[in-house]
Amino acid sequence: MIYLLVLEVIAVPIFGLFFLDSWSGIPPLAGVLVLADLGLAATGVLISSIAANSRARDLLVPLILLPLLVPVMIAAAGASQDLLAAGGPSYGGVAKWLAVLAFYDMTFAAVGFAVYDYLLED
Amino acid sequence: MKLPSLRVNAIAATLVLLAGFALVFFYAPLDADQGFIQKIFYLHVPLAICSLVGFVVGGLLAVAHLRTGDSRWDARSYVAIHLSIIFGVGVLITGSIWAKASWGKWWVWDEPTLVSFLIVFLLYATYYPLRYAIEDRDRQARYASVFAITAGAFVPLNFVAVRMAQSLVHPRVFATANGGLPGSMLLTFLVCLAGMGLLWLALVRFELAAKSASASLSRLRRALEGEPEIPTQGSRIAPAAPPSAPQVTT
Repeated sequence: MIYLLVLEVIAVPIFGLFFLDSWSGIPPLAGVLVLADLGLAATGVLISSIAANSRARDLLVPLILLPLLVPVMIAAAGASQDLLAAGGPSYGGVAKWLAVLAFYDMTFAAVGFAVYDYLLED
Repeated sequence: MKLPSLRVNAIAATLVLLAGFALVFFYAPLDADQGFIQKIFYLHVPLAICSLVGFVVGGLLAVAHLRTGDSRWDARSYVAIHLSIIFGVGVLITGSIWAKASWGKWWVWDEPTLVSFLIVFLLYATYYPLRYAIEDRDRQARYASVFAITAGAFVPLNFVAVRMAQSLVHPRVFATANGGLPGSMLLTFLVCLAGMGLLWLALVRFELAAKSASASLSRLRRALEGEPEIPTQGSRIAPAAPPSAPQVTT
């Protein structure tokens, strides 16, 4: 999670420097990124702890994680698309993508919290 | 909750499905724009709904497994997911046939409904490698349940996300308040859906019965040969031995 945030703190300004004509979308973009990171971290931890005890762990983690993360990617991409559009951000469609992201984060945080005991029992 | 016997369930599934298909061919009107091929709708959509609901049911059964620690719930969850994957194959096949007939392509990548179903399907396809990559039986059951819960929570979430994304060509017949569907088609569809649901339930219960029968068979065979009792190895997810199983006394 921290690693992801640090990476974004570095990567976003560089990206902005090269590709954006307006900086006004960046503050809300930070919110999108934080939510997306939470989702990545929640599912990532959950799946890694499932796979850590199996024989084929290097293979299984990406295999399971990739489909699980698709909604995060879609929602984050959808939100950032509106925020970073040429000619300044538009906020019309952002709210629903943020809702999807928040819902996703809550679901997987709750699932992770609920099943944590069973995974770390031994 | 006490379910009626497997026999009753199977007969009901057969009758309702037959009634459903009779309605499809003799009662439901032809679609104005697609004609006869639209009738695959009555097979494709109930299959898809059953398969997705089955995945969620598998997750709920896995919750029961984790709460009670009873391996029978794990077997139920496994079989529910297993059957839903088989239904999922049916969805992909019928969907492709329909897509070929009505859009002219077997598969369309920029269609959220198709891709999201494929994602769910592939996610559940990883259930088997995950399950059988864990040696210890107890842990295997527990981890498989955790996966089933995670994936079961993912299915409705994915569905919501897809609903929100705009779609262009995949029909959304229930999207509007009154449904774009005339009454006769809706009735036919509901009968088919009920039949498919009953079929799913019957198949799940049949598979469970078969698994537990083959487990008791191998247990009895071992008992006959006078070998010491080994925990069920014939079927790796077979439910635990019932207390009434005959004991070897030599």
